[in-house]
This record gives sequence, structure tokens and C-alpha cells, in this order.
Amino acid sequence: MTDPMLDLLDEAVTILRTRLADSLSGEQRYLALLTANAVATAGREARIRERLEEVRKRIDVPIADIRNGRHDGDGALYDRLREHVILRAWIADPATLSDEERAIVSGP
Amino acid sequence: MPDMSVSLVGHAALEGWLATRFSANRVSIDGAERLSGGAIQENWSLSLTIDGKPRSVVLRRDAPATIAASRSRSEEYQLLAAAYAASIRVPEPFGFCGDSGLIGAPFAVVERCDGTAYGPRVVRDTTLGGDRAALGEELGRQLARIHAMPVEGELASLLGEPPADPAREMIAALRNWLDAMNIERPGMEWCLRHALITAPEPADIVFTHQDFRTGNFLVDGNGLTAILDWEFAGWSDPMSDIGWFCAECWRFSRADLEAGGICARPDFYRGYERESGRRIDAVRVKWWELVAHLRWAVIAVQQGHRHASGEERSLHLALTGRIADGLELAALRMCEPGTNAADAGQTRAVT
Repeated sequence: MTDPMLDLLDEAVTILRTRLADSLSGEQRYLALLTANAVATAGREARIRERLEEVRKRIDVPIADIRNGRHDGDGALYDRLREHVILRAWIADPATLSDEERAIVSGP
Repeated sequence: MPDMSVSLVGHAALEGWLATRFSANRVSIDGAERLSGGAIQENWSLSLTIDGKPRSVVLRRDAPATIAASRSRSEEYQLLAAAYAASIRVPEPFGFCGDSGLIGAPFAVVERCDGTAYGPRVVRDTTLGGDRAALGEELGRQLARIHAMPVEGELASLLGEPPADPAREMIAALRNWLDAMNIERPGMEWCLRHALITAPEPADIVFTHQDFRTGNFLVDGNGLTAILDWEFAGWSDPMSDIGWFCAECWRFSRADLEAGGICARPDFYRGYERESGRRIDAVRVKWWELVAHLRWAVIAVQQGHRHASGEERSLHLALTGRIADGLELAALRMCEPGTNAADAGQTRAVT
């Protein structure tokens, strides 16, 4: 069963993108599509927020250490960074991900 | 920021200023339309009548908040005027007004050129720009002329001393911009570190546009009509402009057309190399393409920060900030441990 909050957001996106944007033109249509994009982004973030926070916690290294080269060649850190960035990129725009990266978002 | 569309029409003080610039007895502003694009500045198309003859110009002034790397309107105008003097294809500059009292902010007035700049449309709509290979070659020629611009007089004063090491100074600037916002992006930091240790050694340093990409030039049905947006121009490695133009993030829907979504690289490269006599260094360009993603990502973060900080509340800015996530992912793909640095064969010692 769909989460009621996510269901609300999905419906709002559908109405903004189809019934509203299609009936508008110019600046008004642009604003409707921009708003739809924002709501859809918020919906995707809500779907994976807990996992995003959990993955971020596992990147437990100071920024200064990355800058200073203490993690040069650290494949394990790279993998954690990659997972975190893949999740954020999916929230922002799923189209930027490769099939392999989308599979990471979907999980095992 | 007030809506200026009404107030500019018939604006007596502005009409007087324009009359002086055009050496005319009378100028009337009959229409004012805000042009799309330009998060850092506002562009207005003005329909004028100058001593009875119609003429279209563009008035350009700062948006409420700018970003760290962006020059002032005054400096941008100087850069545009220098490019015009060097016969680069740019709009003719008509004048700059530094008096904020006239219309609320300093502004520049330039020729209105025909054509479309919007990147996604320029890439998608092949009825624009004429033959795409020829357009790419012409863009390469124009970029070569930019890199050959003489830097003397006021332009030399504006640019200051060339950087000793443009590549490393760019990395330092990007780190500083992140620090100034107090924003931690560990993925971006990984890429910046990778870029630092694989940075090319300093070589040629020339005048560069620094935002030469699809979306920042106008094309009509026949080809290139004008190169726009000079607010980031300054000294750098000439390969930085090539990398910015070719970076995947500026190809829009045509990632397969590696020269800005316009054409294949050889067309663009041919125009550049023939005009400049300089060989394009593929390793350097590859490095600057990585940095292009990082620079655009940091600028996007800055745009999002303008919204989040309350400096300028805007849904458009908030969503632009989110673009940084996809750019960071694209950069990370280029920075896997043990790949690019070894490929480039030029890992540098870092002190």
C-alpha cells in the first residue's frame, strides 16, 4: 500500500504536469512545471530519506582528511561516497543515473 | 526586485542617457521585455526610436544577488568592449552607466543580435545554427581569436597579473567557495583532491572566456550570431575553455556530440587549431572537463545557497542547487581510485 503522504505528492505532480501545465503557456507553464519538479523531488527524497541519512553517517571522515590526502586511493571510502552521491543524484534527477546506478538505488 | 517592464517604457532619465550615447536629439523607449535566462543578471530587450528610426538594444543589469566568481557589470562591459575591438563576434557595446540612481542599478546597453541561445533548444533544434560541423568549426575559430586577444591598457589593469598555476588555483578557489558557504560535500572534496593531484603543470596562460559553452552564444538559421556572457572572463590555461565547452554537462540532450552537443570534437578542434596554430592537448582538456563538472557543481551549490540562506528566495535557485548532485556524480565517475591519474600519467606532488 502506498504511503499516504507520498500518494498526495504523486497526485499533486500529476495534476501540475498534465492538467495544469497543459492548459498554460509561457511563463505560467514554466512555473507549473518548475513546481511539479520541486514536488517530485521532495517526493523522491521522502522515499529514501532514512537510507540517505544512514549512508551519510557511514562517511565518517573529516573533510580536512580528504583534502590532505589521508584517504587517497581509499576504495572503500570511494564506494561509500559513490552510494551517497548516487542517492542524491536520483533524488535530483533519476535520468542522470546509469542502469547500474539505478539498481543501487533500488537496493538488493 | 521591482518589475521594471512598465517603468522602463518612457523612462525620461534613461531616454536622456541613451540620447547622449547615440548622439541623438531624441530617444524614446517604446517597449521593454524581459529576456529569459540569466540568473546572475537581468536582460531587457528595449524597443527604441532614435530620431525617428526604430532600433532594438539589450539593457543588462545585475540580479539582486550575484555569485562569487562573477564580475561586476562595469567589468563585464569592459571585457565585451575589448572583445568587440578585437573583432570577436559579440554584440556591439553602446554604453555603460555606473549610476545606480538612474534605474536602480548600474547597467550596460548593447546591440540586440538575432538568434536563440537557450542551450537545450540549440542542441535539439537542428534548424538552428546552420550546418553543425561548420558551426562547430566557427566556434573553434572564435575561441582561438578570444585566446589571442591583446591584453593591454584598461583590460590589463582589469585582469591583473596572470596566475602562476591556473589549474591549482582553480581547485583552491572552488574549495574556498565551498568553505565560504560552510557547506560540506565529501564527494566533491574527493573529486577536488583527485583533480589537485592530477593537475597539469602550468603552460600557456592566455585571456579566456571562462563560460564559453552552448547556451552562451546566439545562433540563427544560418549560424553563429554572437558570443555572450563575458562576466567570468580572465587569465587561464587555453585548454580550460576547450574543456568547459566539451564537458558532458554542457551537451544537454546530445551527449554523443562531444563538442557542446553541437558536433563531433574534430570539427571544433579543427577550427581552433587552424586559427590559433596551437595544438589541443587531449590530456589537459580531459582534466579541465572534470574541473568543468566541479566548477558548475560549486556554482549550482552557490545558487541553491542564495535561496536557502534567504538572500534571494527562489524556487528556480533552489532547484538549480540540486543540479550539483548529478554533476558531483558525473565527476565521481571520473575519479575512481587508480584510474584517471595513472591514465593521465601526470600525478603531481602535493605539498
